[in-house]
Amino acid sequence: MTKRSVAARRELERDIDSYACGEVPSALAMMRAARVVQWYVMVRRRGKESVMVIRGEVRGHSEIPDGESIQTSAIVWFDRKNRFVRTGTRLYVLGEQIGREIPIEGIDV
Amino acid sequence: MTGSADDRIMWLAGLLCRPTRREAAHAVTVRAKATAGFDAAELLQNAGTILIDDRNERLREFGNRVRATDPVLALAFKMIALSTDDSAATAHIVPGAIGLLCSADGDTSEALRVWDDVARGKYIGDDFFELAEMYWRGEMQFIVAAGPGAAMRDRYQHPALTLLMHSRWDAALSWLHGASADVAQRWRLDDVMACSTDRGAVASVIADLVDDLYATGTPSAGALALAWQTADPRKPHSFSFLPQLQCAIDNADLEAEDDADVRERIRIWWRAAEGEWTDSKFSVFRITAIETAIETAPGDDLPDLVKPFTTLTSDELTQALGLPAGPTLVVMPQHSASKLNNFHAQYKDLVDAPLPLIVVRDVARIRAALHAEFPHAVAGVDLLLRDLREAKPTRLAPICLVGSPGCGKSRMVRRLADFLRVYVYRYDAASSADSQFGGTGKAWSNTEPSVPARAVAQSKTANPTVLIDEIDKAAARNWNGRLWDALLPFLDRETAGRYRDQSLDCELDLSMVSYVATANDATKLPSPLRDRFRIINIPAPTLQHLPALAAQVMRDLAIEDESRQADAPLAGDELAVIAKAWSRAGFSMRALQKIVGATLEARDSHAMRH
Repeated sequence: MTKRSVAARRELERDIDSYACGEVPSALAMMRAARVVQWYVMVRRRGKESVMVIRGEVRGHSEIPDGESIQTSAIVWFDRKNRFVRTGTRLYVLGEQIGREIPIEGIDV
Repeated sequence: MTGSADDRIMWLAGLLCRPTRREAAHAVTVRAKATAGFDAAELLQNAGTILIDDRNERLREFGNRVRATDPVLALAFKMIALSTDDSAATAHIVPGAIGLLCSADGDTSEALRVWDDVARGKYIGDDFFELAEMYWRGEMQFIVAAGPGAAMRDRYQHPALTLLMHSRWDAALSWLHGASADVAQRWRLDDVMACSTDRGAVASVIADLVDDLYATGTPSAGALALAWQTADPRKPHSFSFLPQLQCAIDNADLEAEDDADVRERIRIWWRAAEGEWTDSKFSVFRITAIETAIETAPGDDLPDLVKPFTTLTSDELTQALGLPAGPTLVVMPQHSASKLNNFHAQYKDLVDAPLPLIVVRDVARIRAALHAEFPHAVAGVDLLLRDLREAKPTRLAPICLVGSPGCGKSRMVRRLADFLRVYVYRYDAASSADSQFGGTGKAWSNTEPSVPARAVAQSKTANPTVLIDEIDKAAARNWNGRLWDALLPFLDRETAGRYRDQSLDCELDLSMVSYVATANDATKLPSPLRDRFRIINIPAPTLQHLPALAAQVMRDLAIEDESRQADAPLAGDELAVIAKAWSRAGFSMRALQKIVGATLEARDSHAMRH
């Protein structure tokens, strides 16, 4: 395991511990994080286990141009108020969820 | 001499925790090799026989040889030499070992009490170590599981994981309510319980509670907050907390068995998150309970057979039952068979075919399950299971269950067969007025083989069970022969092994077929039949068995009718009413089924409608 991956792992553990105590990422971390809009949740099978991932359009990602469709890696923490998700390697801020999740009552679409 | 006296006793305590006799024997040989004054070469030479068989003499000899130098090792040799059917030697050696270990390690001496119980016939098996492992640990786990919430929370290390193990939403809710009492605000918890019957309203109250708990900012409050997050199978997006729950499982250091249980359950939650049960009216707890029960219920752990049981060939059946090298028996040998006619088409496959013998698996579990299901007939169940030996083909000596109508005789046989996975051929004696049980002659224009031969042909196994229901109701007159006389050759193993079926005109080996009869009154049976059957009296249940039996009836109703699966258990006042009606009806199981059914219907008709 490289020094960098050890540091990333420690950071992940620290983040999970803080989320488990009810904390949320700092304003600075949220500002620096990539943002996903028009997102939706998918459950993917990995052998016997399952993982949850997010698909949507990305904004402000350090390696992917804005507007590309992405699928995140496995989520390890999903904020209960849909504000952010934490994967093994990075934090994503969640923007607007894709419209099909919201029922449009009374309108014949 | 090696080590101090305490060290040696601790070693013995460790030895008794070995899961099998084989492993324990290995540990003893290693120890003996290390002990000065013992001929290691001879021991190694004999190691094969120590580990396999012929154990008693040689092991005792080793024990005697080291007695002077290392009495504890001598005792270990003697304990490995013990066989489960030698109660006299067990009674001599085990109390000594208990006395020795009591001072050093209380838990291990408890394991030895299982040995004692084996010697007294409470448990059946060939290996003391395996039995001790099974029952001692089982009891310990039972105590832990039945303890207060705190004990469960410790066991699964995280309240969300303990919650995952619940089978009902209301039970989970009330447990969590209790577990949160010290951490959450009282009025919030009261709010939750006040609207707990309305799932829509409770979700928003719980969301506020979760916010409160997270606001506390401590790890324990955070853990409870995770446990409180609700999930509704009809709304897959409500499972968005599953990543953190999975993370909690991955980080928890659980016992292997608990870890497997928790993971099995969370997989079902993941399936719910995928939207598998969006149209289900059950809670995710109930769905999990149903799904895991289907996978692990006794008798249901057969692979999903595409074809019906009876149309499988013996090879397919062997494969399906997972018996690759299981024992077989040729029931219909070619050399003693004559040419079969058109009536016997289905018997052609049996000629010279090695049919599988269904092997007994896990007698202890079967015994425990039957005890739970028939609490009024514990002694009867023990007698019924007396002939069964672990990993040996299933065969019961002829048994006649005698008891009042509706005390559960036929059901007991059916449940036993379910657990043993043997085929049951039910023969109604009340409608038998001739000797057709033994088959009709080949010379007749329409001919039929004997009932046991039909059972073998239909089950494609060599050891089905023939259930002769209401044997005392068979016609007693001797006009065209009678059932009672026709039965006699089958009940004697020697004769049954060479029974010439007059329809097939073949000498059949029916020695492995089991016969179980039921009767209300055994005195009506002729004495030759009474001699051949082991008569087991099944007492009628009494009021003290009512709670267990009524719960059983409710489980049966839930299996038959899905809408009954969400029914709350019977309340005390309901049981009191049932008890009154049941005593009037004479304590019959059939009456109890009707009364419980009627009680539930009455409850439904008075339920509040929203």
